[in-house]
Amino acid sequence: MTSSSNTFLAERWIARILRGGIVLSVMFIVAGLFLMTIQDGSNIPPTVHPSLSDLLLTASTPSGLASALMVIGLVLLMFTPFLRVLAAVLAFSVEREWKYVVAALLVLLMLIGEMVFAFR
Amino acid sequence: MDILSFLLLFAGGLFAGTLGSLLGLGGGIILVPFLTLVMGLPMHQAIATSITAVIATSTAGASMNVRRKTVNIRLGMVLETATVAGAIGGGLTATLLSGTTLTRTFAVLMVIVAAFMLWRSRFHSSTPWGGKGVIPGTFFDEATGETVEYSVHRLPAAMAVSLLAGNISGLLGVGGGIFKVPAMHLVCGMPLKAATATSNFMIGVTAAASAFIYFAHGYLNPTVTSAAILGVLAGSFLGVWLSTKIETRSLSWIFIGVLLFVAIQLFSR
Repeated sequence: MTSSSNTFLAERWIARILRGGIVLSVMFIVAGLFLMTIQDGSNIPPTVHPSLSDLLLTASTPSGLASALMVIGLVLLMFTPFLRVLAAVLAFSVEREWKYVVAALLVLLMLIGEMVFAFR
Repeated sequence: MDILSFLLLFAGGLFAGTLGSLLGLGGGIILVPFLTLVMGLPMHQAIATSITAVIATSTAGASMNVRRKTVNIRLGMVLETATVAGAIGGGLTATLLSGTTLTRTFAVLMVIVAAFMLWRSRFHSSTPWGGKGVIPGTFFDEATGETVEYSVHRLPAAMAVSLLAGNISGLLGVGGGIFKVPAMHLVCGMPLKAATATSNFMIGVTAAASAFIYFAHGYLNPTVTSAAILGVLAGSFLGVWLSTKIETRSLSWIFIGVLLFVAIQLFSR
């Protein structure tokens, strides 16, 4: 494949991931805010310490479901750029543009390393 | 959170998103002072909210710009190696600093941004440079009806500015486009539209790099962030629409004055 078709592939994949990510995360955020307005919003904790067990525990209570939906929406939003970097790695690999594969892989590794360090 | 607080946060986000979009800034430079001075949020929480809102506006904008082919994805991937490294350093540094130190650093940033806006008002969009550069790009300019071809010059300089912009982004919760776009346009010879679109494309990944650090430290308030994000997103679309209707030059002068006034307020806290 040519260089221009490669760009097209990367553009197509990345545009879909970005659009899907923003739509999905906004849906969760709106659902959470809607639930919060029909419930007692004061029960929602001001900050969330992220762990899956905490999230499931919070979501299992009626007043905690709103908070859990919002957190899921925010995490989806934060993961969307990760996914688009992964898409770039794959798209440039398919097109054998190795220097851009290396650049995208470097970005991905830094992001993963930072996440592991932050949540350790 | 009561309905009044929600509406206030949404309105603040809407204002930040609209003004940011109109003036070619991210919303962060407006949102962070709003959250601290008006909503009384601690500085770390304000930055966490702002950096997450920055991801939202970048993602929404980039999804459209990639389809329009104004983004140079290859250049974006190369420069992201610098912005992400800078953002991780900035995010980790922020967790070690006190709220007061961060607030004062943000006030200094506001003064620098005001100076940049003054300087930016003196230059106009120029045609891309000739000669052989690297990482070429092509896009169709809808305003002129022409296909624009360009290549990137002085890549190491762009890498250095990207590292600094990423660091400021991670430290203070702003996008950093105010520094990257002029550098990519004036130093690297990129057309302004491609520079703006590529900078916006990079901001999402840069912001995500530090957002997880703030999230892991428990600084993310889900209700505040959710309400602000919806406002900023709506505002960024409103700003794009308004930019074709109103003259932004006089607005820039007013905003420079507001930036300096708010910087003094933050510094004296």
